[in-house]
Amino acid sequence: MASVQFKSATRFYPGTSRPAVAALDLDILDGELLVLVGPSGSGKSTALRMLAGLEPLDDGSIAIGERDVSNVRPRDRDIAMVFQNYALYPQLTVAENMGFALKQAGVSKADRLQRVREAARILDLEEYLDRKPKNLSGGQRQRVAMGRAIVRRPAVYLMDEPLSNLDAKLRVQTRTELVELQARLAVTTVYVTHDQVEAMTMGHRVAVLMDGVLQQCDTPSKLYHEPANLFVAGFIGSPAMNLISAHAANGVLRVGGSLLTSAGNAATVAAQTSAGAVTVGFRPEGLSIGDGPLPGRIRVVEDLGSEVFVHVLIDHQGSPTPLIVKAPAPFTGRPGDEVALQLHGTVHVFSTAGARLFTGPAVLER
Amino acid sequence: MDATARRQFSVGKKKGSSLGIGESRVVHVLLGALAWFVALLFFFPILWLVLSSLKTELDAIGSPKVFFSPSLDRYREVTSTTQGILSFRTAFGTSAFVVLLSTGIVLFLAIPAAYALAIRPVQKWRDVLLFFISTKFLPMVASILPLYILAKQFNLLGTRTVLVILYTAMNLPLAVWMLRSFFREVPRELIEAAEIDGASLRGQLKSVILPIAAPGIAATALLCMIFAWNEYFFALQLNAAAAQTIPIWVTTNINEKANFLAKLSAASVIASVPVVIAGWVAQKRMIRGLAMGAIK
Repeated sequence: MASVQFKSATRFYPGTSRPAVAALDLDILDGELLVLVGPSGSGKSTALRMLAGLEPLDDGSIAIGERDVSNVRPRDRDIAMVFQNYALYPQLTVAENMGFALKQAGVSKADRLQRVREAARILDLEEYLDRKPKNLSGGQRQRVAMGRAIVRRPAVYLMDEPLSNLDAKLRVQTRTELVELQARLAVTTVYVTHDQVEAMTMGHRVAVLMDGVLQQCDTPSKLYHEPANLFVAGFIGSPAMNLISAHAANGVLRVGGSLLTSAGNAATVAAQTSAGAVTVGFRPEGLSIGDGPLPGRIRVVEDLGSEVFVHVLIDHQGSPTPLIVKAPAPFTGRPGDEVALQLHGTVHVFSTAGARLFTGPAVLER
Repeated sequence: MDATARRQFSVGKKKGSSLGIGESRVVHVLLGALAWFVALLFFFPILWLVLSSLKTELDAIGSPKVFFSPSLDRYREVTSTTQGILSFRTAFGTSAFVVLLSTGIVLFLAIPAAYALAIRPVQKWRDVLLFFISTKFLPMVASILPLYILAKQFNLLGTRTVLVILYTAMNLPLAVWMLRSFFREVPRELIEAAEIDGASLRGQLKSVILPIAAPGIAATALLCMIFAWNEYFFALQLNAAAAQTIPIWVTTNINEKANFLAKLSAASVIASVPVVIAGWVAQKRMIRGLAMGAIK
């Protein structure tokens, strides 16, 4: 077990002028499950591969425990990795796959067998030990890949989108099992995913990356309620936060024709930046349909049974602007209906550069 | 789909029809017949060869007979009449030695080369690949004079060594190209997983890459063996009588004085048998190997 530190870790892919990962500073605690999340091309997998030793560093350093591993070969880093497509050795049986690393390390056959059986018991794979990977289902293969990592008892587990090849139901189930397993083994784990739901449900902390730059690293709750910038605000949460551009003039901010009033006075803060041009954000659950000052028209109603997402068009600064409202079920409105909206949650205000200027409760007034 | 709709859908068409939509059965049958005709056209000379080898010399040169009494006498003659360096036994031994040794050396050299070009591409790998294949651009006949002079200088004329060297050089570019294609099919993650699991470079090659690429390596080896087994030109020019190979041995059955067609046929069949067996054993792999190595 060990902590992990990225210190200004930078990686350029050959022939590119923009870094895939730029000066990444990240402290991962001993026993923590840290999720790296971001859209494709954000550098999350590259960061993981740098930690694995599969990508060399162009600048900065990476330490596992107290040891600087920047120039240490992958096999000497005391890590185990689970790959997106599992990377099981096709010619070996499940038991041989799981014991491969131990065999390389010169562990005796008896010890190897015992540790493989132990891991197989944890993962419910005992009856498949003699099978070849091609004779396993996707979920079983995924568990063998997990088993291969567990058997090694490494300092750090690295997981590169290990659930993305499973179907939706199995993914949710495996997600829970993985979280339980990680808590039980208490081994530092770095988990890469592009799925923000996976990130939020699994991570003790979540690091959001975009274009190789770390945007925010915090607990899921903090990321959701206090996003550091416009990108995090838009990326975290499903459906995404409503983000509309607005202009603070004469000390007031308007959404549609309605006045945004807040305890901390968002408009005053907004007016102090770049001539008052800002982006206003609020979550779908912060909007309600019924009694309110903001008129809109329903486009689409998505009824999920337990909740309903209502897509509404409002007239904002002279152009139709889409908003999403999370309404309690049952919901009776239909596409084309005229509705009135009210805001009763937290509002975030971001500068044109994307920095968060203000977060606080707000309502709409006529 | 309800029952009525289903019934309507299946009307007028037999279940499991092999015809696609808009295809006519007549055209299908005609195309099939054409394919059979062309296939038989290609196969006919081989059939003729085999039949001739079972005839007497007189029958073989006479007008074709449908009925004749087949015998294996010609086979007995060609494999037992000549002795010493001109015998079938010696030629077969020489061919087997040259083919197996050159193929072994080719694989020994081509596997690391293909690794360097496919899995961890060295700088300018494209140029390297082009260089390899460029050695095949020169017609064999254009290179024979310098090769002959070199062989003479090093006292290699008439030896098996010169053939081993030449067949290795001849097959190496092809083997590197083919193996590179096969190695590229080994998933990168597998190699990385092995790397993280603690396997050394040799370990990765031994326990991950080679087992996965085994069919490709087998196909490559077979192709090299076939090319070397069939090679005639170099064997004739540099080696001729001193250590003759099977293709040369086949031609020794041509005789100016007497009829030789049946014997020559028998010798040709014998020379083809190892290749046919090898090709048949590895049919599927061969086709895959050729397609990958040559076209991709």
